[in-house]
Parts: sequence; C-alpha cells; structure tokens
Amino acid sequence: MAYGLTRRSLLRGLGTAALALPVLELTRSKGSAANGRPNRFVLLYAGISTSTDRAPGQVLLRPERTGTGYDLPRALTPLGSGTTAWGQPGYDVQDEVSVVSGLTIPWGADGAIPPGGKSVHFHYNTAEQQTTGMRRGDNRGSGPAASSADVIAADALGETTQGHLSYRVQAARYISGSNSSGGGLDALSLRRRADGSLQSIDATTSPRLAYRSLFSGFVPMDEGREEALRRLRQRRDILAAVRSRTSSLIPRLGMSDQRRIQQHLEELNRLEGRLAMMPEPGMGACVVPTDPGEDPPIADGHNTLENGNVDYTPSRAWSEETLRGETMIDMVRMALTCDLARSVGFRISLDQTFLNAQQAVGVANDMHNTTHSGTADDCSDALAWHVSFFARLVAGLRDTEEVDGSSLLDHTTVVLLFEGGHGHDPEGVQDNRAHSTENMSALIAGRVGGLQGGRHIATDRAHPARVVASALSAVGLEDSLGEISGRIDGLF
Amino acid sequence: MWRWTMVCVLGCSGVIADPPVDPPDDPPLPSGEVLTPNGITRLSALEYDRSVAILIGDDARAARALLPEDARTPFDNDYETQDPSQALVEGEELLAVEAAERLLEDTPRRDEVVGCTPTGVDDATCMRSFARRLVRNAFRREATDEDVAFLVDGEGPELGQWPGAMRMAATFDDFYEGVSGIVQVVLMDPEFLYRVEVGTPDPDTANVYRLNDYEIATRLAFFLWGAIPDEALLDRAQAGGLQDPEARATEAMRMLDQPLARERFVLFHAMWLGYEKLLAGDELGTAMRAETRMLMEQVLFEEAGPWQDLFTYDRTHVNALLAENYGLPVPAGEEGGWVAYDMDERRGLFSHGSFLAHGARNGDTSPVFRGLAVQTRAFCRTIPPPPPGVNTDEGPQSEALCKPERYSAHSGGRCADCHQHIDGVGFGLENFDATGAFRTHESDNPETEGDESTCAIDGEGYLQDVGSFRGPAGLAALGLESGALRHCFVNHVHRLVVGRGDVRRVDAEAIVQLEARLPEGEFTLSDVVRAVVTSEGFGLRREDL
Repeated sequence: MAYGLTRRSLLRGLGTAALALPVLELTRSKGSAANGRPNRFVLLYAGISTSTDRAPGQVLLRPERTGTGYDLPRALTPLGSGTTAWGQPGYDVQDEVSVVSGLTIPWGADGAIPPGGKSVHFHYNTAEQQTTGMRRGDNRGSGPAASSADVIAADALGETTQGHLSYRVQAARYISGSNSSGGGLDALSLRRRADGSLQSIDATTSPRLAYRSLFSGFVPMDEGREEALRRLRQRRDILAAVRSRTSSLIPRLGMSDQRRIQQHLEELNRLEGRLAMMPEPGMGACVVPTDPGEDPPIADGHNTLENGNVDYTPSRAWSEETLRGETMIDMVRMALTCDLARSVGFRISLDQTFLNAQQAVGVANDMHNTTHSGTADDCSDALAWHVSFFARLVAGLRDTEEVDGSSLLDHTTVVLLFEGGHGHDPEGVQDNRAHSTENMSALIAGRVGGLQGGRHIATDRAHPARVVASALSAVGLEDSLGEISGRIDGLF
Repeated sequence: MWRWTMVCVLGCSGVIADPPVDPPDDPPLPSGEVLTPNGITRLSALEYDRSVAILIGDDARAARALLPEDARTPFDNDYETQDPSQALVEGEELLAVEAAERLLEDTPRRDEVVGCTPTGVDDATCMRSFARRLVRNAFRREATDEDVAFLVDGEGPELGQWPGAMRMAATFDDFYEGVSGIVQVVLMDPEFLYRVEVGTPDPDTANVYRLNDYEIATRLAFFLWGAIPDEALLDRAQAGGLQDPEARATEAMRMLDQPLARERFVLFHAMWLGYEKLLAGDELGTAMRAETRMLMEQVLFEEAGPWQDLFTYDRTHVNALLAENYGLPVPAGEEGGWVAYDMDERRGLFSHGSFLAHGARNGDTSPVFRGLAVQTRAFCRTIPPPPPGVNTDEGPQSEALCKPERYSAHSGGRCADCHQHIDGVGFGLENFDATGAFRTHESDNPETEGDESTCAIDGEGYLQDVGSFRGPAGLAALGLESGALRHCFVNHVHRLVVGRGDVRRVDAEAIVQLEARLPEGEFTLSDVVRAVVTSEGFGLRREDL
C-alpha cells in the first residue's frame, strides 16, 4: 500500500534477515513540515547484572580506558563495528555513546535506608531507585512515591498524540524468581497520582498492538483512502459509545469502584483523543512502517530435565524476543520521528530475567544464571544482547533526518540502565558478587543539551539516578531525580 | 490497614495459622457471620477468553497475547493489582475488533449469535432482538429498553457521538456491520470487562448491599467456571430464587457438572500450589500436565470422593514416557492409563513431577526451595525472607560433598529459627528428583569437582512440631493429619472467591468460619462449594472503602 512518495527501507540487513517477520519496512510519505524540533527522552532497562560470580573482580560493562576512545569489552560489542559472538553485526555507534561506570546504589537496614537507597535484598529492589531516584524498602509503598523519569519527561516535554510509550520486550514472566517474589510484574514506568499513591503503568508487550496504536490511524493517500477513513471513523464511533456507557455506569458504583472505572474512562478518553489527533504522515523521515504482522507465539517456561538441569534447546522461555525487541525499537524510533511521543519507558527484560540465553545468544543457560554460574563470556553475551537494542535505537536516531535537516539524535537522549553491578552483596555479605549495587554501569547517548558521546566516565560511587538526571537535564529539565541531585559533569 | 505480610516480622514462630484474630475492621453481620469487603474486579486474560467463548462461541483465546500479563497472588483475579492502562484499553479494543471480524467471517456462528435473519440492511427489529440478547448475556442482567435503543439507534450522527448500529449498517450498506459495531461496543463495555456488583443497601449493616439474582449468578459463574454465566444460568437468575442459599447450592451442583468447572479447579490447584509455571511444554511436561489433570478429574469429579484423596491416591495416570521416567509399569496404549504406585512413599499430587519440579536448581533439587514451596504454598506458613548474610541463589557454602552435611550449617544459631521449618521438609522428598523419578543417591553436579552420586540419600524428613515422614506420601499424611493442608486449601478458596491476594484480619476470620462450615474430617469438592455458596455473605457485598 502506498502512502505517498517513494519506498525505501532503513536499517535493513542488520542481522535480522533470517527472521520470519520483516523488520519494519518503511514507506515514505509527505505531509506538513514543522520547525523547532522537540526534545525526546528514552529510558531503557535491562533486568540483569553486569558481572558474574564466576569472574571475581571483573565488571563486564566497564572499559579499561577512560575518556574518549575507550576500549569495547565483549559486552559492548554492539556499539562497535565488529560482530557479536552470536554473529550480529555491530551498529557502529561508539562515538555517540558514553559509558558511566562505578555507579552505586547505597543500602541500609529497614528504617535506615539512605536517600535513593535500597534494602539489603537484591532482586526487585534496584529498578525503582534508578528510575525515580527515591529510596525504597522491601515493600513498595513503604516510602514516599515518585514518578519515574520517563513519566516526568513525558509530562514536561509537551503534548503529543501518544504522550508516553511504555513497552516491554520480554513477552511473559515465564517462571517466578528464586525468592518467590515473582508474582508482580515489575512495571518500569510509574506515575505518582494526585493522592500520592503510585500507579504501575502496564507495558505493551505485543509489537502488533504497539504498531496498531501508533500507526493504524494513518490514512493512505491512494485508492484505499476512502475505506480507511471509514474504518477510522468506525473506531471512533465505537469508542464514543463505550465512553458514553462507561460514563453512565460510574455513578451507579461505590466510591472505590468509581475510582477504578474513572481511571478506565480516562484511558478510553486518551485512546479516543489519540485517534482524533492522529496526524497525516509528515515530511521527511516520518513514514508509516510496514505492519509487523502477527506476534510470535508466547512460549512456556523452561524445560526442566531430570536432576533439575534445564534444556535450553527448545524455544522455552523464549518468544522470539530478539525480533520483538528490534521491531519495538524501530517503532520507538518512528514514533519519535513522527512526534507521536516524546518520552518512552522501555523495559528489555524483567528483573532476574530467565530469558533463554541459548536462543538469544547461543549460551546454554538462562540469562539470570549467566550472572551466577556463567563464565565472563557467557554473561557478556547476555549483556551484549541487551546492549544491542540500545545500539540499534541510537543508530536509527542518528541516521534519521529531521525535517530541518538535523539528526534526530540531536534532539534526543537515550539511557540504558541495568539491574545490578559487581561488588559487595549486603544480602549475602560477600564480595565480588553479581547481587551487588556497587560498580554498576549505565549507557547514555544523544547530542541534545550539550551531551557528549564517546566517553567512558569512571565515577566514584555516583548514584545511577544521576545518569538519568543528566539525561533529564539535557532535555531541559531539572538536573535531579527524586532524592538524587546533580548531573554527571563529564557527560557534557 | 492490617496486612497479612506483617506477620513476617513475627519471625518463624512455628505456628501454622492465619494472622491473629483480633476484633475485625468490618463488623460481623447480625448473624455473626463475617463479611469481607471486595472491590470491582476485571476479568483476567483467562477469564476473558472463556467468557468470549461462552458469549459468542469464539475460541480464539487471544487475550494472553494482547492484554497485560495478570499478576499471580497466587490467583490471577486480584483486583488490588489491576490498574487500567493504555496497554490494557488498547488490547481490549483490538480483542473486540478481531472477535467481531471472526464472528462475521463464520456465517453459521454469526447467524446463531444474531438469532434472526434480517430482511434487509434496515431490519431494526432483528437488530433489536440481537442487541437485547447480547446485552443480557454479556452484562449478566436484563437488558433495558434504553440499552437496546442506545446500541441500535445511537446518540446521533455527529463525530464524537455513537451513531448506532442501524446508521453503521447503512454506512457500509451491510446489516452485519451494525452487528459488528454492537459486538465491539459490548466487548469493550466495563459492564462486560469488569464484575460490576451494585445491589441494594442492606438496612441492617452499613456499607453492605444485597446482590440481586443476576449478580449472585455471576458470582457463581466466576467462582466455579472462571467465566461469565451461560444462558441457562441467566435464565435461572431471571426466574429468581438465588437469594435462597439452598437454591444457590442446587445451581452450583449443576454447574460443577460442566467441563468449565473441571478446568477451573485444575487451574485452581496449579495456581495455589505454584506449579502452573513450572511445567514445560515438552513431551514429559505435557505428560505431567495430563497426569495431574487426570488425578483432579478422577478424584474431584468422576469419583466425587474426598478432596483429601488428591494427596493419598494410590494410582496415577501416566503415559509410557512418564511411566518410564517414574520407573512404573508402562500402561498399554498411547493415551496411557492408571497404574498402581510401586512404593509406599508415593501417593497423590505431591508425588507428581509437576509438583516435585519445585526446588529444581543449581543442577539438582534444593531441600530449602522445596521445603519453602511446601510450607508457604501448601501449608500457608509464613516464612520470613532470609536475613542479611544469606545468598539465596546458592546452597550453603560448605566444603562437604553430600547435602546433609552441607545443609547442616542451617541447624544451628539463628539459621535454625527458620530452617527447622524448611530443610526437614525438603530432605524428606530427596529420594525424588525434579521430575519425580526415584533415586537412592544424589545426582552428580557436573559443575563441582566431587561426585555427589556417591552420596546415599536416607530420605527421612520431618515437619517441625508435627512428625517425621518419608517421601511425598508421608508428607501428605502429616499435612492432612495436622490440618495444615485443609486449612490452607480453605484459605485459598476464600481468596479466589474474594479476588484478593492480601489476607486481611477480617479475611482470616472469614476463613476460620468457612472451614468450620465444612464436615469434620474428609470433605468433597461439593462440600466446599456448598459451604461457600450457602454462606450469607455470598449474596452480599461489602464495599471496600
């Protein structure tokens, strides 16, 4: 289906040719131009530590050299021009990416948790500190709540059709965590409501649904236009009916039930609003991607053999996450290009991720256990798999031309955070452990607000939220996040 | 508000119990029965799929891929975890659009759902009869004239107004486009997506409402089927009488005969005991699923015998693959068959590979994780998380080769406070590997230097303050004799019915009352269902303020 001018495709041949579904194939369109490009903010998160217990003293996401021209350890291969261990070409974005190492989330006993700090327990206890900058004990709600940085940025960077995107690559939890706290769903994006309570924002895990949300309202310019307009009108008509019926239901409910359905109504209103605001494809690189089609099926959990060993050969705990992630990353890029959203929360994997590393990178283990029983190379490859999504987005932003001729990366910052680092584990009271929030690393890219790429900055126990605060500062917001203040000066 | 989790601070007191029963926040009913509050509950993905199947015969089961994953606490219907979101609303919209598309493509099903043959694109009479029936079935209440007029005639032709099914049919010059519009609106309507309970205020008790017959029928359906009522149940509600506890029980017994009830209680036990996500989809895992499902169906439905038989049954249904894995005689035929257990240590559900997958880790079985699973899942014990100084990803750090010596570090000092309740349970299951196969020696861990297969397993376990045992059969016997299994089962039935994972003080008292309504000693699934649905509270709603 033609949407306008010429067809072209971006980012092809980047290691995805053999996959069953097409990477987003792009069709260029014309439309109205806009000047004064807005700033954009993307927060990615990986539910894995940056070391393995089997390699004491090795921080796998810390280059040896600091400053510019840093070396690329195996876990950072996707930033370079070489090929990863599992055969994926790098994205050649090292000049755009700065590595911040030596980061630390402080900890303390319950009741004595320092600002931005955590309890001694590790899993499920490190994401919120990094994304909100607030301290948190074992029980959510035990301390003051705050919105995550992506939600803060979405509110501050100006209204768009989507407002904010929340995506997750890992399609399902698969199995629960070893500490039996795996019932929750680890929302990355959090919103502090007016009443002080915290809303966990569900992530979209279906690429098909993400595509529909972003692009199905675009109307083609050719002979299909009339039918498409009719179908779009039909969607809006149906939503109008649902809105009316929901509104009339609310007064019949009890007070607490009213709050829930009122929130449901607000989401319906936002969806209706998105369809009403759906812009025509714009000038430049804003184009409607090819529909990714059906989602890969969601797999079951691991295949446990006798003796408790796991066979990683079948596609268990694996729902084609590489393909899902690449498709979602490309959609994020196009959503930013078309200014459908200016802020994105993007969780690659759940905390303590049990994703099948055999399927992802050819290591016969699950991703989590590469940080315990895996070799340094095994764990590096699991980390590199996460880094590759970050690198793909940075490359895509760099290569996308805005309507004013600038690069999209000139107006964007992208941060990648990790669940843990390497060092002292206050839970196990051991050193050189992956269950540690010492020696954490973060990646940051983008040229907005004076950010400089291509550097390795070794900090002395800076809080990782300061990397996020740096990104917020770069897009024009305060250089603080929650209880943590101050950007990482070396990034500017 | 008082929270169950607060009991953790009490440490490992060794008491198998719900939280201490203090005066409840919510006063009891005049009859003395405790009524726990509940809030509006959204259909889980599983419930959505089953409900669409009942409503319009759509078996696509598409919700898992498109709705946000439901938390398990341990059930999937916990209203306190349900926050509306963009991902939710967009998923629901796409589900509705595609369910309508599938309906229109399947002419026989479409005609059955519509229920009349339109005389033309403008046949408003047919559209109204279809709308009336769909609203009733989807919203679990009588359709009003306003409902029908709204859906068929709409609000108006302007943008931002619902045009109604007749205008939609006219726009596309197709009667069934109007049908599609109604289906989509109804599937996205909160009255379908949520379990809306209103009722009428009870004159005797503040914040308490008497549910109408349709609302009670809906409670029955979600309890017993995990889905909306079918037309027969709605007809029963329309006829009235479900306010009467005995009438509810009669209806519930009819519902237990439906296949959906079997699916419901198979899944109930899997979520409760935590093996829902342990099972793989490979051939052995599939065989284990079948084994456990067959036990549930045999005990709870075919024999309708004591629920306790789930844990004492002396036969199991296996195919050749699973029989060989267990070392049992291989039954004839591909489908497998019932085989008698070959040893006293094996009995019932705890002997199944599906349950014994608990605690598989680090290339072996962990007595700690198995013990934890049994105590926290099956016996409702609250075990606090380990204190600082414990790495839960590894077994105890010890030079010793064999597990009893390695885990002996847990038997002294402060570790013993909790581990006396944990490790002994796991060691009593050590003769059975992570797939349920019998072994006399530990499995060699190739990642260690020593050969663990030289370590003989003695298989003796203990349940602190209760007694010692050998194997799954002995563990089950202690769980039954001590009352822990019975109590924990009732605890979870209550949580399923209320739709809340968090056990408050008032829930704890309600659980005690529910248990007291069961026959002493053995009881059947029917007894449990009867006890739930004949309670006064089953016909009442207390608002969760």
